[in-house]
Amino acid sequence: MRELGESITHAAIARPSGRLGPLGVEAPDEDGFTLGLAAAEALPWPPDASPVQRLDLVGDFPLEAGWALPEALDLGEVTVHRSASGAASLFEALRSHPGSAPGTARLVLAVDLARIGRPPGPSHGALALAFRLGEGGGLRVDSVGTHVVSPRRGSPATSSDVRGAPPGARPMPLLLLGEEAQIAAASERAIALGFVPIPAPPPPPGVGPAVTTLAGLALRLAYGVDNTVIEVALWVLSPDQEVSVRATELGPVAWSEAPTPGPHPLAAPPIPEAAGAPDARAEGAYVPKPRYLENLPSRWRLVAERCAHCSHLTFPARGVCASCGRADGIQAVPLARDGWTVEAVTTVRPGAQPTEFDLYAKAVGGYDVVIARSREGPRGTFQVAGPAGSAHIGDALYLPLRRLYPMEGEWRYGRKAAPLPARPRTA
Amino acid sequence: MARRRAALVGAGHTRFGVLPEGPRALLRTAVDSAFGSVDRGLERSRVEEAFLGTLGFSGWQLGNASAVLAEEARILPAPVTRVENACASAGFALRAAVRAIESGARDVVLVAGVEKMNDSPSPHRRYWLGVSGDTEWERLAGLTFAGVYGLMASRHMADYGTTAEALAAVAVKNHANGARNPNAQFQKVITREQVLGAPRVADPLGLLDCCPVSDGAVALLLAGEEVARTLTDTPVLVVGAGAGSDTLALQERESLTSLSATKAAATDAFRHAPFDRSRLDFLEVHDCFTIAELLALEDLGMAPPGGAAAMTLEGATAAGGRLPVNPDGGLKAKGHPIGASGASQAYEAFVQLRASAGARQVAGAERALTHNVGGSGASATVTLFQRG
Repeated sequence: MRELGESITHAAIARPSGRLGPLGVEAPDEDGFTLGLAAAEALPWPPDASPVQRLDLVGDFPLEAGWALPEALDLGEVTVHRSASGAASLFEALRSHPGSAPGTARLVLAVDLARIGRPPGPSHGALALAFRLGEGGGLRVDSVGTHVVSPRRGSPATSSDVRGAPPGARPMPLLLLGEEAQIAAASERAIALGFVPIPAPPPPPGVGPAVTTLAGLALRLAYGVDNTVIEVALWVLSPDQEVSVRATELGPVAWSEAPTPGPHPLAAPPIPEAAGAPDARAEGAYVPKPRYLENLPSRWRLVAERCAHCSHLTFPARGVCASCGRADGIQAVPLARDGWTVEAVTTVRPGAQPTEFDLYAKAVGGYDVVIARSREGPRGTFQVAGPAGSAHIGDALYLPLRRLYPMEGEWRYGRKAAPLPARPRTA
Repeated sequence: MARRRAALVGAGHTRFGVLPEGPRALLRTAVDSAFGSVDRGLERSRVEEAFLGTLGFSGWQLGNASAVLAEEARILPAPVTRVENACASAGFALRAAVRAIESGARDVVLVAGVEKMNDSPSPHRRYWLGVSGDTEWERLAGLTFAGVYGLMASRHMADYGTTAEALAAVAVKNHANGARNPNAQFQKVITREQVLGAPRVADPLGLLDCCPVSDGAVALLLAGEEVARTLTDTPVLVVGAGAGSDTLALQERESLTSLSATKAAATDAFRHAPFDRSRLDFLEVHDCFTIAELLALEDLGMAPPGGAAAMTLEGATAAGGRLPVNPDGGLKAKGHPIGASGASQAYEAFVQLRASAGARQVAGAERALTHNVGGSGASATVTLFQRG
């Protein structure tokens, strides 16, 4: 593990917002793709960083993530490698540097999920990581954060251990958690991770159990041959001590049903049919895939267009100035993802949503939609990723990427608005 | 030389509501009723052209719906053009008919509007209720029109201190008017407390701030003024037919609390009108949501920006008030079959200005304005009527 720790220059971990939806795992508009992107966006990216030349995806990212993530992250030309999900795959991805010249930048996005909640409950831990590899030279990772959705009640040791941990705990180094974690990682069938606490927004009433805030946690997952967790170990740290104060060995997880090799819980889930609802894949304002792809720069990177003649900033981008109509001399300018201000807000209650949002509205009990103005000037209309009624005129927002709506059997993605900086913080 | 003027000589109106009839039967009923209302009768063969306003809600006849009107009106082979501008479809169909007559191209023209909205199950309806807004950036942010007007209402409240009570006053007033209209979907009085206590739909709008989902059809018969005077002694002259456009998406507009399409349509309508705003006896405005009536009164110049709430709360727009607004109950209480609403407003002008509106008659009404909005204001018409 030592050479691994020495080669990581930056790291960030994203967490699901903690609203447990009907799909069991995470907020109904989050999945591995959105979490991975959130982690990547949270990287303390140095301004003089060499461009990323290789992107490793570990986990069940949506199929289009291979080209979609470089677009969303504005990475330019990268080689994308995909690995299967699971801790062993992540471990392999982190260890391998095939053909990398010294100083080559590499980004690893990993989505992993501790299936410690299955069965019986729907509560899973979910992680997404982004690493930037390359310059080497013993830089210690000291800015890592995550959040774990409460372990299932069926594991009383873990849930009682992690509940009620006070906020404000100190950051702790990744992979420096003690002998136990290193031993576990060396097995190549497990992984150890370090966490700092992140305050969790309270879930909306009736949506799911409260999310636990951790003071610090080392998590070891031992995987069986079918890639399901067969053993879980947790080291819970108190806020005032550097290393573990308790170790809880759960032993082999007692599955009450045979673990199924079904889809990874953080993969974009299949689009279910609501009872009595029309085909959710076909019923909706039809946006053909080419139109969706055409708008991705504005949807994902908030690309606006600056007119060379009148300086007007047009958003969403449309290849022509919305003010003077000139199409020559247009320059693409991404708007900032934060600093948007609410100018108008409504709370759409279940029953008033377009059919594309039937399942989502049912899951979250309604949602806010805002018209917000960017720092640079243009306005946008965004759904709020947060409890209904949480956005108000004058609020400052940032825009995380989320799952928007299903169309023709696929999820489509775009920016939503969040009133709080729910993305992971780095020290 | 004075421009040739168009005049209403007949008008028919089905009941609005949840009806058993399909769109063909609704059209037939409205057209038959319109022909029956022409004082000296009108041969169907004299109709030279027709315009049909309909969204084709639920996809009942997405293409070539015009032929359905030609068949049901028994005016074959007269040409029919289907006009679709969402909720302003019939307003624009009426305007097309007026232009055809004013230009001298036609002497007698039929306008009809129809929508059949209650045939479909709820999810299918909600799909259709959102097809007329900006798809990419509004609908797919999770908005239908209730949400879009909810956004406008929130900003209006923030800018002008407009209250939920003022919005409720619009609903209470229009329901009181609808209670006197035998064609209205809701012929019952509601209280302020009921409106404020209704389930929320798209805050700050509740269920009773929203117009209902309606079936219905309306037909209008227009003729050149000189022809009209041979058909009736009391034609209703169309003395202004204005229209305007705005961006589809709210986020593109300079103001979130004003519909510039309405302002442009009003300017257009009054440009050649023989009277100004101060001479109007009543208004039919597009109150798809309560906030929309306040926006309309301000954009039409009847109240200063932010002033429509006080005007409503003091009763100026109620029956018997200084300027009655929506004496037929408006979209709110009468119902809003999308493609028919603009024609329904003209129907109200026809019966009111001929002093045949029964219990809801505006005493001595001689001049009226109707205002029809497409979606959240991407299109709008303003039409001026005068007793002939």
